[in-house]
Amino acid sequence: MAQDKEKLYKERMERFYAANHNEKTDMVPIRPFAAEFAGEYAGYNTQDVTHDVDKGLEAVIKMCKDFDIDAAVANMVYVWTGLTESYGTKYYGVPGVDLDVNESFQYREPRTEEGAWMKADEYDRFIENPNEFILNVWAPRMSKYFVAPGETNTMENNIAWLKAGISKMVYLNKLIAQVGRMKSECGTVSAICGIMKAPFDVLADKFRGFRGISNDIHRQPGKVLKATEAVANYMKWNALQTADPTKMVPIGLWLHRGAIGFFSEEVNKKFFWPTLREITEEIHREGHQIMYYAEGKWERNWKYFLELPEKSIVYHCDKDDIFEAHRVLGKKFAISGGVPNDMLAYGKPEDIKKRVKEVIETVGREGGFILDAEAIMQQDTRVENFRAMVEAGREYGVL
Amino acid sequence: MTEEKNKYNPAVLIPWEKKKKEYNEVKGDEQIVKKWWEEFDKQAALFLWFMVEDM
Repeated sequence: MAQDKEKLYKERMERFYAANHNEKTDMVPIRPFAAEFAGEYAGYNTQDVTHDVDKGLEAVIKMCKDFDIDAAVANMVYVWTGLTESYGTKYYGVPGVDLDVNESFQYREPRTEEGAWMKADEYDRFIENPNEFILNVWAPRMSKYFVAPGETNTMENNIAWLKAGISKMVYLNKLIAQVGRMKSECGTVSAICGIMKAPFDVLADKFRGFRGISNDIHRQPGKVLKATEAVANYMKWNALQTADPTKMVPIGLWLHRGAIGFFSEEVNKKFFWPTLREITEEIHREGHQIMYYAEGKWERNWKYFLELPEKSIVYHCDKDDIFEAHRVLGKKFAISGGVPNDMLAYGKPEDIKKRVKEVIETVGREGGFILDAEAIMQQDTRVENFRAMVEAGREYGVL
Repeated sequence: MTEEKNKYNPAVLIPWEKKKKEYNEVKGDEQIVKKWWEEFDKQAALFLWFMVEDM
């Protein structure tokens, strides 16, 4: 690695680590979670970066080379539909196939009990052994090719399982190479490492669907609770297996159903929070941080997040008031975010610069702030506004 | 929390104890045979949760 890039990487990693740990450093780190925007910037359409991962990864490298940013996600277009198509996933709308070439992939969650990947009367089997349930029930339901035990086997089934494993290894190898390129060619930190979800979100998103789980929490609350507890151990294990072995960057956790608007606070307190808190605390004891990417509005839950150990999470602020988030959470946790996505899409560069200045001078002045958009940047983010965000971050971000 | 969360080892799909029964006898170092059976079992389990959580 060229010495200049090595030096740059070291500076950026130190800055990013310190800010994530709520410390004051030389300047505010800039960590854009750029998804389809990176492709837009590189001249690719949405189908390009979603279905051809090589283009998606190249787009991120170009963004990291062209902009003075401290950290970025190796591939923020997090579903590679070329991979999910290899084993016949049913639940994605694929750009260029089901959708227009410039529409982002869509997760089509179960809308009816008949369409649910896990049925209401299957909690006991799921709780008994989640791995068995995924293999023998969930996977055959969500794939066009996988066959359940007892059904007639097909060549498509055998090939789909083979491709599934191979495609994942191919993807992991590409991501490892990508992290290396970001470091050696750009001096840019790969911002997150590791996979985790709140147990209740796993059930709601990928097994029962929102409608299904909405019924279950009233009709069989005990089983929903036991299911979240059964899943929790798997979530913790998976997070630790995939986390950064150097413990320098946080595990990424996208928070969903605890957001204001889905369920009541009572439901969150009973079903969503207990297992998430326990896993977060256990992962913290292992020396890792988790980035709570709180999509939507989460202010109601802040009092629960404050139960967590200091610096155990980095709180990413989407639709909440970031100034209030800083006031309530800032003594314990670093905060990221700051620039509204609609401003990045429809505003002017001078609007962006004004916003960045305001946020840094309030939220970022004492450190513990990472500049980013409020939500992942997709194809509607305008290049001049992204540029303005980065430039303003450097201009106003010296601490 | 109940004991449900620790009931099963997430890294295990087909336990070594079950696999071992297929062999009449493991000549040589059983630990290296066990090691790689469990490693690929773990990788397969990781793939299942990759499908569920990430893809």
